[in-house]
Amino acid sequence: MQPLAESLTRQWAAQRGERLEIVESARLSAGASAETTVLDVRIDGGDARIVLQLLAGRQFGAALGRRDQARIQALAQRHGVPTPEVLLHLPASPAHPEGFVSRFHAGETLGSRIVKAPALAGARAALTMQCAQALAAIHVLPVTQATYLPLRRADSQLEELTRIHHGYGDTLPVFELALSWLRRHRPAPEDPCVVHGDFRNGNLIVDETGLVAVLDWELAHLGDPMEDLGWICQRAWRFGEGALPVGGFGTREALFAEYEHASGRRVDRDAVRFWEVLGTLKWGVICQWFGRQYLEGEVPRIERLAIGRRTSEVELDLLDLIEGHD
Amino acid sequence: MRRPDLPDLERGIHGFQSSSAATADDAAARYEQRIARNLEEIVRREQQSGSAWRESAQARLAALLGREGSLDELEVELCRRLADGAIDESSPPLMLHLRELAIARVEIDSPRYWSLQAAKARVGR
Repeated sequence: MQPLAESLTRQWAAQRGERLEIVESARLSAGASAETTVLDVRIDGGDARIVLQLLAGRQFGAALGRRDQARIQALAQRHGVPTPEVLLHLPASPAHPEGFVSRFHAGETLGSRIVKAPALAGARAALTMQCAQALAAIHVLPVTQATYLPLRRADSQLEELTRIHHGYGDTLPVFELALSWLRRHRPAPEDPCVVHGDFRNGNLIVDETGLVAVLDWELAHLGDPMEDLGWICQRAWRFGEGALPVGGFGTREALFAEYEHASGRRVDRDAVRFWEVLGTLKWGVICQWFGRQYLEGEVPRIERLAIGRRTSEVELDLLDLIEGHD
Repeated sequence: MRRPDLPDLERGIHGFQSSSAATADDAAARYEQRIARNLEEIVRREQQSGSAWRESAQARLAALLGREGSLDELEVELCRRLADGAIDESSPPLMLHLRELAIARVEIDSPRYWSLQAAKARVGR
């Protein structure tokens, strides 16, 4: 921590003109693509709590660097999207990878607790509306101020998934059927807007009042707003609460109605269904990717091997979606 | 071919058992030990599942495609026809076949998966 602490203190003084002292640090998680540490600090003598996220490992697909991730998160925060304020970009150095620092918010992030904890019953009642409002706010962010985001339309995402899946050489007829279905159901391209790209239960901070903050902007891009609506409804993020498609806490009808009200934009149900199928297939290809990371010796954790076997769950889900079941 | 297959899992479990994490007592090691036990269960279920479900899948697929071959060969051929658009979800025998096979695999990989029961009910089980 010492070289990292020195680097952080130096950058803090250079970028913010304030004296930072680290009192205590606690590592929160070592995710697939980020290492998160909560720091209790003194800033010019005043107590504060901040969050440091460092780039760690590889992210599936085209993830943003930490600088652009910080930029889009800061833009969203300035425009009223509930997301932590970005305080500092930490350039990579020999002592540590690139990262950024944001304000700490207390609350629950574990999806399984968000859908089940009795203390969060009130939050669950409000969460669908709040997610719809946050999504509406993201989708009207000024594209002209986010030109550094990659354009990722349905066509290019479909092409990318096809290439990655075929690259593994697995024989998965259900995945092939899903690719064929997606090619036949592509939505007409709309004017691109800012898309969060990973808006789901598990990337939200929730307290008793509901949504506190939207996290994890590294897959943000320009594209079809319906993509975010499809992603939050995916089965992988329902944590066992299958009858509630929106994150395991809400219904599609409630999400769509509030989204239309808040954004003034009509929800294209067919496009959402397309993105739901694409998102489900994407999760399946991510399962393949995790499995290969183990088999090819890149990440020697058997958790990766176990996730590699979850393609069968995805097959079941894809068949349900293609046949029109919820 | 679909990986990780049975030998992949057996190698993974064996490799884990000879690592220090197999006997360590911290939270990360206990998590990996739980995953290893899950993988052992998958291996046990796959070994006990026998060959009947593969044979019936092979027979369904041979009838669907109008040709003989191993299950692997027939699945490769099915993928080719799906990619060509020669067959799609409008074929009830195709959908029944895919669903039966997916159910058989989920019963091995994650029998407690929340949508498995509904999927079985859809094919009258």
